Amino acid sequence: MNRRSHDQVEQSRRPGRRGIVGRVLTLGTLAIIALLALSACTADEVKPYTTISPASPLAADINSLYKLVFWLALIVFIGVQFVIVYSALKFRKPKDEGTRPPQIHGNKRIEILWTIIPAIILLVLLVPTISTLFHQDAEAKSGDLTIDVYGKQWWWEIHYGDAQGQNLGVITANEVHLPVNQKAIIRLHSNNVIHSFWVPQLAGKLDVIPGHVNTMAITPKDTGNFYGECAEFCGTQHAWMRFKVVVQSENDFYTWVNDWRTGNPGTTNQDAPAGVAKAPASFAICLACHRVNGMENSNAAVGISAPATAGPNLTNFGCRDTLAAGMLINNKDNVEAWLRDPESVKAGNWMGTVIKKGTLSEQEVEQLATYLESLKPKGGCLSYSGQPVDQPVSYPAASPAASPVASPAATPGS
Amino acid sequence: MASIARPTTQTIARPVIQAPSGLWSWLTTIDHKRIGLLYGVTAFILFLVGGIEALLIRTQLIVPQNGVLTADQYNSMFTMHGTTMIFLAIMPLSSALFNYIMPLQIGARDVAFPRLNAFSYWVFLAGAVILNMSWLFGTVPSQGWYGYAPLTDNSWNPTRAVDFWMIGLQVLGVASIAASLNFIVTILNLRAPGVTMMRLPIFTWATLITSIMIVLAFPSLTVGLILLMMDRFTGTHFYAPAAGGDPLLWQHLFWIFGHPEVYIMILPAFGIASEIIPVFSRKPLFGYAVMVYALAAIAFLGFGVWAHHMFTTGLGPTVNSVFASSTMLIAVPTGVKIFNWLGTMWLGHLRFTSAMLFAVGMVSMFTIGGISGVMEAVVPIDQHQNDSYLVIAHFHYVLFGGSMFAILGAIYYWFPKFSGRLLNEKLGVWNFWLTFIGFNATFFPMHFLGLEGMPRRYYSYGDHSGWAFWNHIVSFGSYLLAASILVFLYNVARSLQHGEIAGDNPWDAPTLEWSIPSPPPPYNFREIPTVTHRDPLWAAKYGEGHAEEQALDVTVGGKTIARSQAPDESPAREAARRDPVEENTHIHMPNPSYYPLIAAFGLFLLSVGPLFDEPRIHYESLHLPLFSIIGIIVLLLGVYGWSFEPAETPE
Repeated sequence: MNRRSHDQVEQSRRPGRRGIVGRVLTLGTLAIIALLALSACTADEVKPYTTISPASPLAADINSLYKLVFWLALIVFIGVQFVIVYSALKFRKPKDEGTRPPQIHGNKRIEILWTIIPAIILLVLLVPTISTLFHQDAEAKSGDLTIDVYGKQWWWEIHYGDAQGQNLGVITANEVHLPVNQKAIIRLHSNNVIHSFWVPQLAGKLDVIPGHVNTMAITPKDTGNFYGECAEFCGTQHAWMRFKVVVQSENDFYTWVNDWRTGNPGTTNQDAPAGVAKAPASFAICLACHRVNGMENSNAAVGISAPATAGPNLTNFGCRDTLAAGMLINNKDNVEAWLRDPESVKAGNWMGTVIKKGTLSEQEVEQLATYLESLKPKGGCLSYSGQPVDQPVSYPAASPAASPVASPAATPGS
Repeated sequence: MASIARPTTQTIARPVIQAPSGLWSWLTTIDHKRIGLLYGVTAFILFLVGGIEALLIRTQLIVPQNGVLTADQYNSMFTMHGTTMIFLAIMPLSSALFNYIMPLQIGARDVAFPRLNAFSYWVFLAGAVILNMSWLFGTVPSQGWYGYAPLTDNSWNPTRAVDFWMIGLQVLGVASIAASLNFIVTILNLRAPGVTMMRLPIFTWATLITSIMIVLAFPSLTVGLILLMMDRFTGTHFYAPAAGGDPLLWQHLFWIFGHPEVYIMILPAFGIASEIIPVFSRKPLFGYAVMVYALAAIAFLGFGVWAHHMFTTGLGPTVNSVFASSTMLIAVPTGVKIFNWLGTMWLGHLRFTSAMLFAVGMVSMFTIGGISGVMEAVVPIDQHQNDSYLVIAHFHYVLFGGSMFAILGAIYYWFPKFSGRLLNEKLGVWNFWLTFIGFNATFFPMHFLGLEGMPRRYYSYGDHSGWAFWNHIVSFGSYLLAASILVFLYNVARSLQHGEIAGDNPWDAPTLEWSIPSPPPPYNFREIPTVTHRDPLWAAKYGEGHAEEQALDVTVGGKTIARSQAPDESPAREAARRDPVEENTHIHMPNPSYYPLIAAFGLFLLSVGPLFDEPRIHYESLHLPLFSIIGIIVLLLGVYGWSFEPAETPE
């Protein structure tokens, strides 16, 4: 049969072209409205880990690239889906009337066209991709201060140095403090498994690989709290390896550095002369793995050479928002729960292999929690307000997470 | 299979070879169709296992700080879910289709090495058993399906969990490579007269190219796993940085396998869509040659993009730029395929059967996965998206929206060939729309979670992470998706009993498998057909260009058996109708054999030996696993018997 008569037959029984286009557009619009409506439901939620609200120039670069790709992708998406839905509506023919549609085996010109056009679109993406990559690399060569980050199972240890990497004598856990508008070079180290350091608002993620040192630059443009997380599966508690980045004014930052260097002078020796601050005697157990700046006998190993059992630096513990790498709010109840039985709170953690249920008496637990909460600088904790704090859930005694059956493979290493 | 009564006429003699029945006949079968069914049923059961693991994952994440699973249980779930779906579900489901359909499409009586084919299946089963045996011993792998070193090292994973995974994958590699070599040789050598390479159905092309990829890609995984085995069993330090090893070595070896693996899973889907869409558009595939070249180009480029999985490992801007370029390049042939499918549908007479719904759904959903893939090729964007939920969304749009949609479509399409009965179309349409809605409700919101910074493999999250809302939706979506699979299972169960009898060619499809009875006799083609066109049945029925009536001959055994004046006759039917008794001489068919099963069982024993501390033979400092020693003996016996077994019963 010839093509024309075929088309005439078809047109007489199908709705007109505009009708179909209209239906497709209506459907598409409805779908988009529904999605937007759903998105609106979440608008009130705080998004501490959002990737599309950058607060540093390099993160802003990523976001502008993302916007470019997003719009191009949206055009391609709508184009392809439109053709599919349009064809489905326009050409559907449930009943075989014995006729054959035009048997088109191909069309070289069209095929060449739809090979070349995508290639051009991709080239448009490739150029800024490559230039951004080299820019990132150049930025990471030198900065105003050097931060060494050590990924542990499952927390972060952060060492601070000046532009030349000269040690400032400050070591924090799960909190990175940065002065605003200064370029920090972050060097990432691990002596255990692979982690990935990710503060979505400040930079893309970069892996923390044993045997390699990866380097990235962060120049925060706003003061405030930003939130980071581990983004490479690193074992049992990968989900709770969060951290906070506190961006302060330069003044605040150096006040904080001095506070930290002074630390919390004291001793666990109950016979020490009056005037020396005394920690509970049982705190000596803690000092086997933890450090407190200024504290006597506080010399647990840190950094890359620290054994897996070494724990976070506890200096100015009372100023911290969270415990157990973002898992718990730092309050006395949670600290007590943690000290009573770390394994039941965060299965697989190293402290749980040393401190078991009953290792510390109830009195010791109470004393230690009180003492830890009291570890603050003389002038009090600096307020780092800027953004709402991501308050992790408080640790209820009867949380379902509290009664897990430990799996045999729970404890990595031994 | 043999249970379906076929109308017999006087002129059709009893089949030359009757399909045997009973358990023994299945254990010793070397019939590619039965092996295909074994693959299919096993893989679908394992697909359900992987699905249950996925549902547990989603139930854990449905609300913040949920306690349905412990951290380690959750980690085991996602490890086993990934490993199961990739190696035990999607790959063998494709294998099932390759086995069943490909020899029929090229007009062959079986694959080139039927006993090797049986061996591949039994070894695949052994690998699946080894992986899932870990549940019984309480040492379930929990290091992720990609098993990044050094987390797999004894220092961080001292239990046997990693060993089950490592050895299971090693065994599965044997099965995949053996099966693939078989398919390659079959396609290159056993094509019926006239089936030139450029007349192969695209599904057969996909089989060939996928098989070549498997043969080239798996050795890299094998090497990686051997190094890991040495690290774990004999104390070497290939991946241990403290002793001079490098964990990135594993990532390179793994992804040199792992990225081609993605295409190994999606190319069969491309093949399936290229079969279904033309049939239900009543048009030939648009741009056949370009579709073939695109498949080949994707396969070739697929070996040069592995480091895009490693964009955040600090390979440096030069390496990252090169791999960003190659990754974007691969989008070009992929795009061509999508456009050519659209070109096939354009102006066609579309029949939206369930198979067509799934095939078109696949094109639509895969496009979304392809677009997000290009997004991730832009390295700076990937610095955010890598290892976030956006990546999970991306590859589920590829592997579920692409591969699984296509496989479900393929089952609707070829089920009549397997069983002689059609699947119920009404249920099929329900099945499709439930799958479509459930799938999108599950995976689309994951894009948002990725943008909100939710990383993969988190067993728990706080109230104020901002991820609660979409996780709710995702979890409910996953239950809907599960329900759609139940509809599918019900449809299969019901249609096996009560489905409409299909006949040889219920869809009026153009390829050779539709020229023979459903289900096909053990020998497939009574006489090997001679093919003169790319779409032989359409050419025979509708004419060379498929549109106009013109005289056109299809010959079997040198005789013209199909002309336009007898359009409804299929070549083989016609051949059967001609004086069958006289021509009913001898069809060369190999005998069943139990040696492949024995050899595979030997390999199984050999492999599980190192997984147990006892029984071992202790000799000085050696502790040889007893099972392995027995296994080697059984394997050798099996191979010996296999080698000297006569291929046919002497007459």
